[in-house]
Amino acid sequence: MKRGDVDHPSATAAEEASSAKRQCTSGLSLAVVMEQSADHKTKKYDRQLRLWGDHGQAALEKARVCLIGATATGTEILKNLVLPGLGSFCIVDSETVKMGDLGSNFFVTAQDIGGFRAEAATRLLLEMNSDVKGQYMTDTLESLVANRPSFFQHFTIVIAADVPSEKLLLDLGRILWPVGIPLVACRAYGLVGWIRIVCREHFVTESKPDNFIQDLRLDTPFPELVALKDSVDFGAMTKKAHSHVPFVIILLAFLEKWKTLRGSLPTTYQDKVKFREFVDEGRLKNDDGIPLAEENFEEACKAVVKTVGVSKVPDEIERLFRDPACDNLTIFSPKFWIVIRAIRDFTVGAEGAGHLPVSGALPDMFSDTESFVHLQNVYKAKADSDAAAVYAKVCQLNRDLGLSEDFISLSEVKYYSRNAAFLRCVRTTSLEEELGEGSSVAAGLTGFSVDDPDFRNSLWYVMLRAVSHFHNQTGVLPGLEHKTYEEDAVQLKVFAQKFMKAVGVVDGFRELAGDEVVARYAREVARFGGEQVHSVAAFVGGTVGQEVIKLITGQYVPLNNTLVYDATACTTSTFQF
Amino acid sequence: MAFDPQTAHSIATAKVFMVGAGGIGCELLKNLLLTGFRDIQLIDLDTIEVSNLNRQFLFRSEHVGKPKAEIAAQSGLELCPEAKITFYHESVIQAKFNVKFFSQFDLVLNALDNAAARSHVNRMCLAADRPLIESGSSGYLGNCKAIFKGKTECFDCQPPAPQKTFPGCTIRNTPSEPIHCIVWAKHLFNQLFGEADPDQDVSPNTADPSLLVDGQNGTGHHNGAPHQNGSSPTGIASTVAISTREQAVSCGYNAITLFEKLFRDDIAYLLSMEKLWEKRRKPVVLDVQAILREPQAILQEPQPLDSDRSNGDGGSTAGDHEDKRVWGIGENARVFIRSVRGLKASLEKLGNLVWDKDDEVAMDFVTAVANLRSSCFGIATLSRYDIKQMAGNIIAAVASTNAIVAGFIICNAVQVLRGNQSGCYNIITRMFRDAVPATAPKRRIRTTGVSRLDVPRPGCVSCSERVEIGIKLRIASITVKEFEEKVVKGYLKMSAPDVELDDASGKIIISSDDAGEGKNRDKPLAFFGIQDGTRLKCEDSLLDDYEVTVTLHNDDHLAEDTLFLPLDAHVEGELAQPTVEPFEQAKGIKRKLEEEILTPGMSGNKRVALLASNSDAASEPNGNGNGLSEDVIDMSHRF
Repeated sequence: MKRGDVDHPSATAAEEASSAKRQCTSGLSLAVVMEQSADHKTKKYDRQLRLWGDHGQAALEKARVCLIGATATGTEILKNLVLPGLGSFCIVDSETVKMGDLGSNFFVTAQDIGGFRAEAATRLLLEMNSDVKGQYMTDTLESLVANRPSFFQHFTIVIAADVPSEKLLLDLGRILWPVGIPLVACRAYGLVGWIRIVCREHFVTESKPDNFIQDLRLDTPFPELVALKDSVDFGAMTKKAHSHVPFVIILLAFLEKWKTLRGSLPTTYQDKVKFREFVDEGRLKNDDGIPLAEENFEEACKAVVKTVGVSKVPDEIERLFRDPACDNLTIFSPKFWIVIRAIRDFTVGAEGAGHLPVSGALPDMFSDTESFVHLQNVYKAKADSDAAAVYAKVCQLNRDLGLSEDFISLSEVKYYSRNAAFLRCVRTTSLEEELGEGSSVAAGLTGFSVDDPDFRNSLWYVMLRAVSHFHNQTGVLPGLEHKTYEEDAVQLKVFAQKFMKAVGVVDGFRELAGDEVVARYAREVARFGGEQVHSVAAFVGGTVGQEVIKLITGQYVPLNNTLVYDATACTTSTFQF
Repeated sequence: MAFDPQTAHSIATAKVFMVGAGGIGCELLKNLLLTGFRDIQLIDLDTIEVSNLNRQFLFRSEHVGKPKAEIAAQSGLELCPEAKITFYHESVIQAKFNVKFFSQFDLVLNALDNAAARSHVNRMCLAADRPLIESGSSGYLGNCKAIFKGKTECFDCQPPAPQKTFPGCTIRNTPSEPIHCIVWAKHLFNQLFGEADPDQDVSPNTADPSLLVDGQNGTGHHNGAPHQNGSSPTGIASTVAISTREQAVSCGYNAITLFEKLFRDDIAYLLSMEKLWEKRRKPVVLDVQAILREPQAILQEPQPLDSDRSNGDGGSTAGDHEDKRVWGIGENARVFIRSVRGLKASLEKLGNLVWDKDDEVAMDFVTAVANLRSSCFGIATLSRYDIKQMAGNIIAAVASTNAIVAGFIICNAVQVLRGNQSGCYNIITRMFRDAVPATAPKRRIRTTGVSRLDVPRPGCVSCSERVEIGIKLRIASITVKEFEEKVVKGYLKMSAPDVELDDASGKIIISSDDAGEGKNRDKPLAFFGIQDGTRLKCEDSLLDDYEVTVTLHNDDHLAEDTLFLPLDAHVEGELAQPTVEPFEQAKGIKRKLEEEILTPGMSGNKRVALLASNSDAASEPNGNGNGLSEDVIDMSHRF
């Protein structure tokens, strides 16, 4: 088996050609190549484009992922990235295919036994999607980390699957942390799964929170919106027109009336309930004085509690504004922070007057098309002018920093501006902080009760750490040999207790994790004998797949920072270590 | 060893039946084989499509068009040559897959995508007394639960998710949302080119209740409503009398003639029903000649609704692809003409067509028709991409969710084989989502909601021992066909029912032998001497032991759009009341989740100038301290 010497696995065609020796070509028939039209892709990826959009797909197709460990877990993860059309991957694995792999790893075959696992996995993974490029390295992780650390710097994300040595993980973390490349470490061990995300700074542009409430600026309408509202005269309308006024206009008009009557806008819940009745009173009545069923008014009433009085900068965005990175811009600052600064300047300045740029999006509403389009155009025009104001500030900041004025394009700024309420910055602890001296683990292990699935899962975490110590001391995994199973279990218990002592778990946790409890978990983990259970690998593979796609697309907020899965109870818990 | 030797042996010798070889199915087959299952039968009626390839990894581009069951079995055998894998490329709802067939398995695994088949397999497993594992996925959401006959809740114990249906009058007379026009367009397709369904009439409906005076409380009289099948009040020749299909045939499917009928004459006829437009905006008729005369450039003005989209709706940017552009009216008219010609040719060649969202011409037709009708009614027109999502009930799908769900199925399957019912769970999974760290910095978020299996619901029409139910309906007007389709097949979920009078005569009302072709199907129930209080015995001929006795209660005051109303079902013999499980809340979520999985497509469609009735969830209390995080609880609102 020949190893390539190229240090830069990259997706460009020229380099691809020069490293053709390492390139797997099987599975790339002519027919498949011919199908790579945009239309074909749209069809093939239709079901996922409806989740993350064309821009999410574009990010995925540009991404380069390094997988360390073509284990069952590792190949399951890559399967979930190759199928949706990842740009390229490179597998690092020095192991050969053994009988044991066949029982749990879908991406090796009996014919591959004795060959490199990385080669088999790369070949079989590429068969699934001809849009994806793949390479492999058969160097050991140890030698790459020691001799060619720059190798890892060319990837969008590095995934470490089932790496048993904490020391190696730490070394890898030390390479990636300073250059800001996210590392996802994970493991499927017996009936337990573990996932850890390490990213120094990850920018989310579309957090897509649950239950998000659109800020329609009802309490602080901008002049164009006021003008539109004033142009609507509820008194001089046909029945039909009255029942087709968009609820936004209804609320604006009634808020103004309310304010005239009461002197202030409804802010408390009680006030809002009264205001809702006030709006409901506004429905047209028939000749007998019975209010007509007007759907737009129903909508307006429903929307009162949620949409009235929410016009303020969300806490998450306030926190971004207060972040030192927003104040201390340098020529090396990521675009994200330059734009955040511009949005902050806009918001606190005269243009925003305390408000984020208007997004331009409207919720669905009952209306005739004409009124809706009119309303939408007003919001859209305001969104455009706000984005333009932010852009002017971005240009100025770029100039001040000594960057080219068009370092950030108008369309980028528009995108940020539109999503201003959805911007997030995620920073996890480093592996150093978790695995190194002065560990941050103890703080994450608090607040449990004995029946709590989170407690059980925290014990699994402790046991996995003990397994690493066991491996470090003995060079093998506990329970591998049937005859030493009992001994190993005892040894594992000792390691677990040592670990808890070393990280200084709080008294409450120590009481729950008594001698007997730890012994029981240790026996269970020793019984796993280091075996991989495929269905656990499938779960970890699915979950890591989702997290990696989040990190690549900037959509949704990634896990911060640890997830433990218990396949016996089917529970998951997240921890911040 | 992760599994003890006994469990490993049970796995290796278990005989399992896998229903469905799609998104979850591919993952499941792989998981089964790699867990040690060696005797698998699988069934799937579908063939492989290009849009499957982003997740159904047992299939490659060269397999497009081939049966899923066959290729999945073939791939499975490549992975594991020593396994025994039998496949069926056909529907599971068939007499040959009878109770005896189901009885041969130790375990049945559902990996289906529709409620009808899920319900059917559920019943077969109950009849054969075999454990079933049910599962589903939609976008980033997934679920999985085990079902044990008589011990735990079955698939039908929960009332079916409310199917989003629309009153016929809204579809035929007064559409107000794009979806109304899309549904109408699909109906029109079936009327013109497919198997016509009388329930899917597309012509103006003269029996519209809102034609009644002040039609709000149903007490009005037929003042001013045009006569059924009569000439119209304005003197325009009625288009109601002869069917749409006959008209199309008589004009040789001339596209211009059809256009004029659908978007000029029928609209004009609707306009003549003045009552309809007292409180509504009047539709406008389209002039096909004028539309076609105008130069295209003018007609294709940019549509504002297609541009920026809100953040939470899938986030796709507009304009990147032709499919996402909203056509102008001229373009819609041209596509209409072109697609009618194309479909006419197919009809002549192949006979009746079946609408398929992935058939380009059929999709073009529905897009153009829906948009043209929207134009008549002042409703926003949409892109082909959006209409496809709504018309095809498309569920977003990715490999990762299916991988997670299939992992859970194995967890439950292993517990079933170990005979450990209490180790089986009802599991709901979702992606890790944004917490609100400002208010709850220490909260641990779970990505799965796990609950114990519920006990069966007393009176469940599927899993109770013997069932007696009461149904309210209008005996004088409901036809045998309606009773069969909506009550016996729809509500009682029987696949091939036999229905007879539960008296000495035992007179047969519906026979499964007729397969829906019986003579008296258009007669009302009253025709058979059925009256208030009559009892009917309903049996499913595909099941040995499934019988429901229905007592009919006449009620002439049912709401216009209501065909029947079930009274509370009761069961012979006592069943324990459901006990409150520690994870009580998971049930509510599960229901909501299943609704999303089972009735997708409709809920999330937006950027339309209309609607949004189900978004009033902000006042729900949160911060409950037991078991599940709020994160999981709130999953119903958006995905």
